[in-house]
Amino acid sequence: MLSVGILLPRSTLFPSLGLDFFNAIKQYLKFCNQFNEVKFITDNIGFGIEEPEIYTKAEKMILQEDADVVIVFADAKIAEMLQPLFTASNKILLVINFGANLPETWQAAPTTITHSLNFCLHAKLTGKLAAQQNNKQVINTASYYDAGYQICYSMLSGNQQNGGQPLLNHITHLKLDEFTLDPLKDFLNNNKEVNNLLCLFSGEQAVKFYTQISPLQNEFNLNLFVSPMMLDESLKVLLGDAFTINNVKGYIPWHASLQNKDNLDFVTNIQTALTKPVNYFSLLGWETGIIVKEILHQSANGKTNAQEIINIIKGKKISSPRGWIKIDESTHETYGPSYLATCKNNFDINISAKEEENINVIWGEFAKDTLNPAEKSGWRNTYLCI
Amino acid sequence: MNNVKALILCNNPIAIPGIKEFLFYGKVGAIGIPKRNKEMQQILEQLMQDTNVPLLLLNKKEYKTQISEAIKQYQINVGLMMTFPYIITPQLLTLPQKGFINFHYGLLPQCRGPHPILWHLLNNDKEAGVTVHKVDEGIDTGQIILQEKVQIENTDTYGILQSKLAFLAAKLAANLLKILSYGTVIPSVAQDETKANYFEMPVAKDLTINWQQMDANKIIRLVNACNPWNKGAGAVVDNWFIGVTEAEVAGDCNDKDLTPGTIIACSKNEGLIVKTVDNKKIILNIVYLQEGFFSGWKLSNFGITKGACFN
Repeated sequence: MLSVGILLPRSTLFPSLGLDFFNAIKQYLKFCNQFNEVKFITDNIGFGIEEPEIYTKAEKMILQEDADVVIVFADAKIAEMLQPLFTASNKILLVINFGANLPETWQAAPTTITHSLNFCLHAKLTGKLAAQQNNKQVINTASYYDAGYQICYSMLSGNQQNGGQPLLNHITHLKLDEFTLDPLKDFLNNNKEVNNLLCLFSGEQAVKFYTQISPLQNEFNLNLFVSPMMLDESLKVLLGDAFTINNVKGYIPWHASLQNKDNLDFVTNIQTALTKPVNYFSLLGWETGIIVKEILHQSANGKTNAQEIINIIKGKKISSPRGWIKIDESTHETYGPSYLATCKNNFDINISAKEEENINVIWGEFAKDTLNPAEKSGWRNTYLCI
Repeated sequence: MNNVKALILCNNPIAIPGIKEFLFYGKVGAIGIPKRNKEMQQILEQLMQDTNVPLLLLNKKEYKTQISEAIKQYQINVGLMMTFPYIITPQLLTLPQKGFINFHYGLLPQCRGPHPILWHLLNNDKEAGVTVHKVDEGIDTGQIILQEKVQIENTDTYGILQSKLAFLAAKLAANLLKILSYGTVIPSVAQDETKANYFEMPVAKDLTINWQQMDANKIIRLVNACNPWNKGAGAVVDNWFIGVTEAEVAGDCNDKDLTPGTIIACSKNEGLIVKTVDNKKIILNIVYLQEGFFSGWKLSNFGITKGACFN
């Protein structure tokens, strides 16, 4: 039996994050008849920022609970702190995040896998898409929080590296009550030739943004190039039946409407067993279950050395609801296809194309990108503590 | 977070990047070096000039007492050894709360001993690395905390490999510091004794080219292993002992009847070319003589010509 520790965070923005994630791991293992082969030990790491506390809890999982694998939902900075403990203990650390922040270094740790949704990569492609329009001038608009994640840097760099010309950075207030697009409207009034917006909002801030940008769209003929969180289908319910929007585009790692078999299994299982729609958190959980199953398979074959197990499974293309995921051999980060999504009318999302053919090359280039100190951010628990 | 105050004991500049990691985070209580090592004294005095960290000059007769007193005086809770040549006695091992930890600039358990970088090269190993391990009463036998490997390239000299390992050690130092800072224990695993090898200090024979037995690749490895610290690999021609500092393989030798070690060419145009036992041609680009370093072909100025033979 494989002993798996899980360090789960809390999120004020997405209260169901931890539960959706953990339930989806369990559901996947039940789906493939492996649930009884895994013993789970769980603990809570709050908002995922107290480094000594997280280290102590991970250490306890290894030393007292004898966990073979520890899953931690955390950003790269926390992972970098934990990696030496896992290397020295020869245990597997499975780091889960949205990929909305970039690591300090892309160098792999021998016993660590980072499983993410690669939001920075998709945002970079979206920034590039905006730069490919006839009108190269763009406005960058983001929430106070999203602007601090490196996904914002990625979208802007994808835009600028491909000829885009950002004219304005518009950051909204951290308090939801004081959210306003008035400064953006003023700018548009004075610069009527600008109609392409790079947009980074999430959760309630995304709802506020869409609600306030919708009446401006016709007036200024706006095209919205948006981050993956802004194409989260759960926003549709919050926006209501009367809401309309058009000309929204962005690259995303996955969508519930994908027609591959793994996605159909995923959607059906989660909706039936948990009676709620799938989302990014349950996707991360389901795919984490897929990786745990790969580890379990090696363990059942008599492999007990963490480094050896990772050396076997890295580089392998594994079927998943996204189509596939692959653990990159040099960085130990997972990545998968990137889909171009459009959104129109009453927040109706369609997958119109995908970048799958080139994604290995795109990923290879992306995973060389490192930030200079001036571009680094202190935000270290994306989408949790708001 | 735990308070970390390290006594770092070292003897070679390879330790500097690792020391810098601990100095940067203010985790060094004192640094100790053998008193005779003036080069390290100069490097460290410059490195530590803006810190309050004392530099201890340890002499071979009194170093145990000096270390013991330093641990008490500077409230040291971990000892770090990075190329330190003296043995830490069992009594000293127990003094710091977290014991002593050694940075071995080679892979354990397969390459124990005082010259791991050299032996990785001489043994034709594909990988070298740095091993961070707990110090016990044996030599390089303690439980392994961290280990990372690097590929050895055909063009790696001793100096290049040493630099790679120095910076790899800095990465491991940063990782060790996280374990010391956050952890309640230092995780480690026992060495696999069935894979253990101990390599002594090399003798002249280990560092001399045997033209009758060594193939071209092995000669290149030996030459690289001796560059720069030994000025070159030893070679004898006309009873004259020279050093080969830099060489490269230059294709096949068609004249298979020639004795290995025979000089095929020794001119400015062609360079100094020697036949090897596996019928390859090696160009000896740079040689070391008592008179200085020279291009290989300049041996002709000293009377060595085509047809002479290295033995």
